[in-house]
Amino acid sequence: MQSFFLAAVRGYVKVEIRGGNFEQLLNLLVDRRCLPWDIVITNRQKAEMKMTVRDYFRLRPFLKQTGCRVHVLQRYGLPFFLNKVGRRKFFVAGMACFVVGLYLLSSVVWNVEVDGNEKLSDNQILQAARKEGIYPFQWKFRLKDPDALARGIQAHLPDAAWIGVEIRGTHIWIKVVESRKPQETPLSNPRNLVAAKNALVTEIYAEKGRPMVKPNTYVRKGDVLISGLVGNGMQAVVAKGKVKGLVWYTANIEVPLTQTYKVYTGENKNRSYLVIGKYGVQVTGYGKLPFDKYETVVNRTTLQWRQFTLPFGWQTEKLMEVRTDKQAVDPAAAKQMGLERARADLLVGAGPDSKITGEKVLHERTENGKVYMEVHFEVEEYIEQEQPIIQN
Amino acid sequence: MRRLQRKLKGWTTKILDLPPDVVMNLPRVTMIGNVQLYIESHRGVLHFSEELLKLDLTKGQLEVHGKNLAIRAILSEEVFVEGTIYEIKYIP
Repeated sequence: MQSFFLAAVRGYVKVEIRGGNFEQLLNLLVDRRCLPWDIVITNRQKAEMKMTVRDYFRLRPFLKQTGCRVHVLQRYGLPFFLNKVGRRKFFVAGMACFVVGLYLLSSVVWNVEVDGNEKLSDNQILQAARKEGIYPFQWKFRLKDPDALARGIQAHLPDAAWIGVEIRGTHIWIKVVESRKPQETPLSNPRNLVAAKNALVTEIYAEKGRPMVKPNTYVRKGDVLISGLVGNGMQAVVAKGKVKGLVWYTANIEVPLTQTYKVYTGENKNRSYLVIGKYGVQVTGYGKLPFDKYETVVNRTTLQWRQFTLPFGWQTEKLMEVRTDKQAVDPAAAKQMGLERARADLLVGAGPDSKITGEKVLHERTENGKVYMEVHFEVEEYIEQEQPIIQN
Repeated sequence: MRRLQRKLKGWTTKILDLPPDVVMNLPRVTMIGNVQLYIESHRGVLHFSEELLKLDLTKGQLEVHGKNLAIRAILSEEVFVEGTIYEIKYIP
């Protein structure tokens, strides 16, 4: 009863005892620690019980003592099973081969996949992997550690910034992160740097080429600032550098004395549309607009499903009434506004890193409700311009 | 002397709350319904048939009457009987 499992593994038998003194036999067995179980007595002095195979072989002396006869009814347990199996050897051999075959096949690499490469071709990476020993039909246990493999592949591919090798079952995944190369400077033809405008040179910095002018020299448009011909005029290089100079501008400004500007009155109206394709069907907000000047703020949402934008969506418009107000500006304020606007325009036109070093109002008059000004500006900006050297 | 010993044993059992079947070597009979019977501390099987099981105890005998009695397990001091049990008699 205790170790049924053990009994099943070691084997047990169901025996039938006939005749003799059964109770005495039982007592003897129990005294000698051969414990049977599932004991049933049928009416004609026959008893059935189960006992382990080992105990069965110790029965004999007791049988002699009590005068009982024993007969085996059924055999249970592993040893008997093995005997049966022994007669079907090939079946068992087949099963064993299957298990061994399965194990062998699963310790072979079947697939190598590469992920994350854009500039490097799959083939290149696979070739590098092959040198490290990663290829289909390779024994898995002959491969090195994934870290060592990754390092090895990286040594073969200098373009990759990081390589990850992952062994999942019979797949090998190679993940690649490529290194970003710095932008290569485009090749250019030999050239000079000339002045783009008439200016007074304040700074000249030649990275490549020979500087032709010194600071505080007045140059005209087209004058060579940095020459590409070096040596004795024999060698032509790509001139590179920066030249700063003062450029004079005369700006004519006019500023009206009455400003008009738009103001939201606060009245608004909401309209919503159901958009199908290109057509919007107005859903709410019908009615004529109570105001004639308005600005609209449109909010449109199109429905999306994964990557596809569906052709219909929802659109809400908010119409806000606008009023244009006229306001008189006093001349001094108007002048300031005009000057600021002129300065901003100039800076945009002169390019980055430019600044206004001087301004002078030449003329100024007010007539017809406007202020007219003629202003002279001095701007410090980069004046170099490329000019290719044409050699014949 | 025996009597005194026995009386002492009984007294210590009560005071110290020990299980009496262990101290005084008495059999413990556990019956589950009328289907299973578990007898601990016996001295041997005197008779066994489908309707009667006679066990020898330290003091006296135990008789179990029933139908389809089967000894599920037997150990040197314990017996596990299954079947339909009608009577349990203690014969001193």
